[in-house]
Amino acid sequence: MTLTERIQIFFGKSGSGSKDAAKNRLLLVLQDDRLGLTGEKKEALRKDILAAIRKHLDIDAEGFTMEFMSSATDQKEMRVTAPVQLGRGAVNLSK
Amino acid sequence: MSGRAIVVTSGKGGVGKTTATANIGLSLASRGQKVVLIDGDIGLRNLDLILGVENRVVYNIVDVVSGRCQPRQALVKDKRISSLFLIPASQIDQKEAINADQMRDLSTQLKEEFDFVLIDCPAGIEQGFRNAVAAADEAIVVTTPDVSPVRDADRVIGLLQGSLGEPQLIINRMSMAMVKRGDMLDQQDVLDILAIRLLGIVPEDEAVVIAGNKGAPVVLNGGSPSGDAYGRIARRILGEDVPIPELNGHSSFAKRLGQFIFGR
Ligand SMILES: Nc1ncnc2c1ncn2[C@@H]1O[C@H](COP(=O)(O)OP(=O)(O)O)[C@@H](O)[C@H]1O
Ligand SMILES: [Mg+2]
Repeated sequence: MTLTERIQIFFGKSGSGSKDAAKNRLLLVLQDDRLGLTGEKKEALRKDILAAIRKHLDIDAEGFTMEFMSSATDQKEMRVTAPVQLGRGAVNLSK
Repeated sequence: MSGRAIVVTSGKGGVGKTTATANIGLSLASRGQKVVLIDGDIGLRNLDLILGVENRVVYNIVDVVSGRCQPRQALVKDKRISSLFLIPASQIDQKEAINADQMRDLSTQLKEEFDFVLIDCPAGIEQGFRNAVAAADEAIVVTTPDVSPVRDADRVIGLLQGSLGEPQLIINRMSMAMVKRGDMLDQQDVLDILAIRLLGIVPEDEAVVIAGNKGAPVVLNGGSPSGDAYGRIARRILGEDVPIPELNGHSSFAKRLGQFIFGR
């Protein structure tokens, strides 16, 4: 064992810590698996949500993305985030 | 008498189902239980080889369900532990050579005579899986702490819901060195993800490969970490309260200090 390795182990920090990536990716993909949330369904949901928002707000349709995130602490909780880019009209209105 | 029929399954292949079935079966039998193992992997027969009884196979499970022989004619008796028997898979047939009802009937019949019927499930979630599950009342899910097997285990757990009681989990091939480095999911991570009961953890162990070479599963030779782990698993199946050794790799300050100073 090299000195660096020993120091790393001493501080509890060797390796690349790749298991965190494994855990996060698994929690995400399993949420989709369990819900039967396919890429196709996600796209349909994205379009519906976009249309619903656009009925009330002028937002930029191009960059509208949705992110599905599972909570690492509560398997029953899912977060859907969709950052909204305000459209030209909205920006002009607010001026 | 009505014994317990337990399927050992995983979704993903190569995670250690056959090894687990052989070792749990031998271990239960060595504790005085009458045990029959069914190799459910039709077309890919392996359990006979792992058990080291391949030279004494005459009939197989397809012969039994198609009436070409009586169940007792197909039973291969273990020479080391007299209360252990195997019904081998057929090597030349397809999974479709048997259906779920036939498997259920066979298992019902065997449960009359045996304390345990352990079914080694093939990989996948198709006919072979459905057959193996149909024969069982309980399930053990085997996974390794890698992303694909864990994902597949989750799928299998979902499929088992409803048909069988809550499955129990074996995490196989755990490497303490990798867990310590933070490069392998530890037991808590896997349990957080799969949210089922843990039956046991089996370490990565060269002895398993050697045992496979010889046809003498690890529980037969005391002293290997994997053999000990399977022994504890068998005792838990029998209802004993055997603690699961803490294998999550969070080493103490003193241990880390020792590693720092002595380099091991
Ligand atoms: N705990 C372990 N340590 C090291 N190797 C193992 C362990 N468990 C299983 N293996 C190896 O993994 C391979 C697959 O095991 P097997 O029991 O045949 O899996 P499955 O029945 O799920 O396909 C075998 O070569 C076996 O020797
Ligand atoms: Mg197998």
